[in-house]
Amino acid sequence: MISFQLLLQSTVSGLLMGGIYALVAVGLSLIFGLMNIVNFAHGDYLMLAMYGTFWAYQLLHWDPLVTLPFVMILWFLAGAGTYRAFIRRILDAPMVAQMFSTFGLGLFLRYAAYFFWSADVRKVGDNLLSGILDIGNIFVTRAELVAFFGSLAATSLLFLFIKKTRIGKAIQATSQNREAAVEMGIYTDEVNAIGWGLGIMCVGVGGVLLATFYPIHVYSGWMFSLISYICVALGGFGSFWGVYLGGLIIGVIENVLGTVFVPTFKMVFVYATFVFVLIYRPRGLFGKF
Amino acid sequence: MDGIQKLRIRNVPAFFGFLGCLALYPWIFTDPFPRHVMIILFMYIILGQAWNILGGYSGQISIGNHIFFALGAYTSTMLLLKAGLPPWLGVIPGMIIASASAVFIGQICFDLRGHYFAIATLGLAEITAIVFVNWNFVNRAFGFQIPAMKPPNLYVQWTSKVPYYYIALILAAAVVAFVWKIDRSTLGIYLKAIKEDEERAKSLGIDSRRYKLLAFVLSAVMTALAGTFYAQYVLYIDPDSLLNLEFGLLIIILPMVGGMGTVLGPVLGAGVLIPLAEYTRSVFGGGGRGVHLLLYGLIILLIAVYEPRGLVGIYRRIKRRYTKTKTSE
Amino acid sequence: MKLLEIARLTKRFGGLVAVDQVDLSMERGETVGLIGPNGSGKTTLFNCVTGLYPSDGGQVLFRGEGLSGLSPHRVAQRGLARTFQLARIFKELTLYQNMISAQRHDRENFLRTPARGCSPGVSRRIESWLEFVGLTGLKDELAGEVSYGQQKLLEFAMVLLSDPELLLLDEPTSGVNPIMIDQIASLIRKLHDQGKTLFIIEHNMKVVSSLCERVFVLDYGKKIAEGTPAEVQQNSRVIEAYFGY
Repeated sequence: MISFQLLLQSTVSGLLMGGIYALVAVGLSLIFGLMNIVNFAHGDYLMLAMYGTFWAYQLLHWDPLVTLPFVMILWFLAGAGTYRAFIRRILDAPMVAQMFSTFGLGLFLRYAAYFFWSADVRKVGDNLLSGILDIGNIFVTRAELVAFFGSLAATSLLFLFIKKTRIGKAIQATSQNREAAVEMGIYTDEVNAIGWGLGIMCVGVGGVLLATFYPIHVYSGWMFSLISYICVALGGFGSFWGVYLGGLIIGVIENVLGTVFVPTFKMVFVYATFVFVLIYRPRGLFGKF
Repeated sequence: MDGIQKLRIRNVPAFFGFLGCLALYPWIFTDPFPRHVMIILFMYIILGQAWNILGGYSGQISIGNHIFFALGAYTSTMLLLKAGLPPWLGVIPGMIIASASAVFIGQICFDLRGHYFAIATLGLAEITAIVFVNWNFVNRAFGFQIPAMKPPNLYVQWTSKVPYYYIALILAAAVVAFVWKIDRSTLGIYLKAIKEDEERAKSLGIDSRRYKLLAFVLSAVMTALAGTFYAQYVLYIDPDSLLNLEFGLLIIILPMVGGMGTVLGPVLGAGVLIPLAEYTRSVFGGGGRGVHLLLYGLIILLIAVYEPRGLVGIYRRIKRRYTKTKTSE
Repeated sequence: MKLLEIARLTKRFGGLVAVDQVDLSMERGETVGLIGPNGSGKTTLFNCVTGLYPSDGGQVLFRGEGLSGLSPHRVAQRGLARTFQLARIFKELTLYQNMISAQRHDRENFLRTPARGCSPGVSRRIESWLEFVGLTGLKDELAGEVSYGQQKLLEFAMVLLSDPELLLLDEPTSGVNPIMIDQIASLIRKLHDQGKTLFIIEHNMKVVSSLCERVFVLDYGKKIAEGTPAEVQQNSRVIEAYFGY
């Protein structure tokens, strides 16, 4: 039997990682909620943010925390730009076409990265967040801790934005009923673009935070695409904090079960959870539909 | 409105004529490399058509078909190595296991709409890959190497590529003919109906679940067959080469770009994209492994946004415009 | 035994009760109308009967046998056919192929898929129903390329092909021009003369009065009246439902 200590440690580590999953998943669900499109390229934007952080560190000697605000702005623009350039044209296309377009986009981004930066794994070196903390016998890296609270902060800010601002309310309205929103005079096109911008911005933030402790690799994004999708399915479509919670849960499941059983089977548990949820509770834990 | 109609191969003789030309190919191109490219191309035609039956015709997009490829390859190989069963026979248990898996997966997952189903099949493929890498029975990450065995005709291994070429050609032609048959048959009509409006099809009395399962089984069987062929061609199988994500994606990219739900789509898709990959590989050398996928990504994105019906759709559009200008004279 | 018996049928969507304990029935050969203001639950009722929605209470008996919990294709195979408010046909298929998809599905061995599409018996029936609705000339056109009125006629022919015992028609005359309305109405009358049982949702009161022997009225999911078209038009509750006073 494994020790309580180990269980606790792995739960905490899982939670911290789960915070990132959650943030990324929230971004994904924002896009999905607005226009019913699953962004298969989501994780690749994450990967690019990680690389961006790396190169900023390597070439400009910027600490990741310095890179963060720049990435936020750039990634927002990238998201809105992606919408304007491609997504807007496939809003009413058959689901297959929508799937393939973000799919193709992700493929393109991934292999462009591969072409320029090869498959070598990178790591961001010593920075403001280096170092390990010992909290009551549980070891966490400073980076992980900041990443967790960073994502929590980002998610909360996003939540407040959606709930309190006019644009946020427009987003809510469009997500619930696009036609009604149009009739009410909401420029859904602008709303969609902002939604994409925010969604990709989340991913950008997640990427910068991740880069402080996670190995950077061209394929690392794809895994996050899948996982964030699973988090959204688990949390439930239409529920902001439900998706966030879904992210935390997946993080814990992945890490705890991976530690308790065979580490290489980590993803198996995550996928199994996914299939289980899809069959027995397709709405997700807190979903509205 | 652009209807997806079968691109009729107007002449069956033309089809055989074309096959005849392809049959001459190895006599014109005697180097192993061009022959290899065509063999791989034929294999992808088979894989693409197999996927097409499920994805293009009945509308269930699966990103996990490579599971069946691996099942076919591993089954025939293990029966060969452990029981001496020649691959001509070993391919059958592979196809049986593949169909059983397809029924199992289908029963669980068919109720999932659209992208749920796609992600679920992808997840299953990833799980299968992880399981294989850790499972002693299939030799974990090491896989299996098939040693030289005589006589070659019995054990399906030759030093020259020519016999492989003809087998691949015949299999590809048979598969294309089979899909053509389905396309024109009642089954084809039912699948297209299910794809367009499953609820409506059900309201007419069509048991959509049954037909989708049938499509899935056909898809799995053909993919497994290709798997066995591949195992005998390269004589080495392991989880990484058979179950990697890139491969799984390639299986769906080619028919999608060519034109899902048409007979010639997978053929066109493979016919255009495989040589493209080879060309970029030779031009870009070492870093080339990524470039073709980069191009593929771009092509898919553009096709999905501007002409979701793929190359076949583009061809039809051009034909329409041409006939329109003709009649306006 | 009545052909169709619906007892205390209920369907909820979250907090909204779309169909509220509705009772109705009909005998073979009748043409019965279902009317009510928009949103009164008529289409939902149809969806529950045909198995598209699971119901939340009550039962539906067809020829004495329950239909609850049956999947839509099983319901169709029992002999219930239905059209949709917005004609649902397969745009990517030709009219002829649409008809093939509508053939009787209970007796087939689905492994046998004849190349030409169907047995000679069925193709004769397809031709005759296409003629009945006047679409013979268009049989090789793509359904997506004919007019909406023609699509509606196609849907008619499709649901008749399998020779159903009960036809559920959801607003058969909506969305088409007056000439087409008359054409469809006369088709329905011919079907009635052939002895078919018809259950029709309609908004066009002229059509209802001329075709239906009996009418049920729904409002907010509840049945509020039944009787002949004339009786129902005089009913104060019905007038109130439509006009608010």
